[in-house]
Amino acid sequence: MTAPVPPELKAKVLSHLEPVRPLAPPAVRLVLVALWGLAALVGVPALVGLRFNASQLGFWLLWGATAAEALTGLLLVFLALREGIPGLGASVGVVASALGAAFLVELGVALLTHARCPCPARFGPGVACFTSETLLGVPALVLTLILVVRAYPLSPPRAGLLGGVGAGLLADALQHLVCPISDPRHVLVWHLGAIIFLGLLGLGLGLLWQARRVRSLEEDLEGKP
Amino acid sequence: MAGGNEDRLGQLMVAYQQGDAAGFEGLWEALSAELLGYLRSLCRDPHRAEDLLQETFLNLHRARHTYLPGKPVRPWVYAIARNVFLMSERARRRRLAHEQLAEEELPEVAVASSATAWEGAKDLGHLLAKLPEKTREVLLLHHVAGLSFREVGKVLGLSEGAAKVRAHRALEELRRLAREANP
Repeated sequence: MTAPVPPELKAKVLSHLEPVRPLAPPAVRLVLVALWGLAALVGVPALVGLRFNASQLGFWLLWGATAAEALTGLLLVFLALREGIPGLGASVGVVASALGAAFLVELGVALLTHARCPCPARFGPGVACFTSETLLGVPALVLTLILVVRAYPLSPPRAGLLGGVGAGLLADALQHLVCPISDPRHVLVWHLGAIIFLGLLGLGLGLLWQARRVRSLEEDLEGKP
Repeated sequence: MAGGNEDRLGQLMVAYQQGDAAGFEGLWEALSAELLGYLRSLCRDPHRAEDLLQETFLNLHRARHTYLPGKPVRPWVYAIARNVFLMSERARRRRLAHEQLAEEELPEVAVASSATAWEGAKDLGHLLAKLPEKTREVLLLHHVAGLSFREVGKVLGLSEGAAKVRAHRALEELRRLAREANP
């Protein structure tokens, strides 16, 4: 025999029982981030211009590599959005594989680009690249986190990490179009550095969010007799 | 109602999302006993499990917009219940660390009437309690709550294959414990 609903719980639920619209599936919400990426993909080169050695790279190494990075970034954002639906979160293995794939795509693009077009071979100016890439990634990260917050992520740090690295890859896809330096040291330190920074930023925000949720649960449980 | 009608649960969830109190009450009626058993098996404290059950339904209420109509309800609900338990463990550990208390003794596993479906006969319940938490959870979710391995994987954040492997190991361990208990 099932016990009746505890009166305290019933009162809390009934006081906020307004109808809610079910969230759209993660793939549908991903379209918002994809649209932002598409707009930036058109807007950034239009504003700044393509890298001066774009013609040396050819279509596939320029646009194909950008597309590969952008799609990998969107895949990570998709996983972050799935984290927002209880029971849909990816396993640790899938998350690790996705992060590994992101690193491999970044490394592959860097090495292939350098092999085709080894100049200019220099390490700098890195801070400018790091800053612009981070600034390009922040809107995508913010958009992703807004979409995640509107859901109910069971692991906010994991969602934040995936969203951050995904946003970083999207930003790096844009940076690949405008930054002419193909020296792998430059790409792997400053470009990858920006991706890691955005990932850590997402992770940090997720940890803060989780700590807040733990405190709130603690207060709820302490309030019980 | 382990292994109960998913369609019915789905209808209750949709009604709940539409603001129907009967939807909430129906979910409570259908799921509270099995969730209580699940939470008891996780925290091994009947009183705490009751608090966690209420907290689970409160979180279920806050997250009700994230249920995707047409999807199975149980993996969604169990994922929330498990998360409430894990959060409460974090809160407890933090409190203990702050208060610098000695490690608390875990209370005996209670096998109350509504939890018997979860832990079966008394002997089996004791054997289950000896299993590590991670392996015990897979057995309970699959063999008692009736979730498929795919659904168990979703609740625990594992792949379907990893859930199967964990369940297999848990059964082996359970057999070993049973042999030791009844030589």
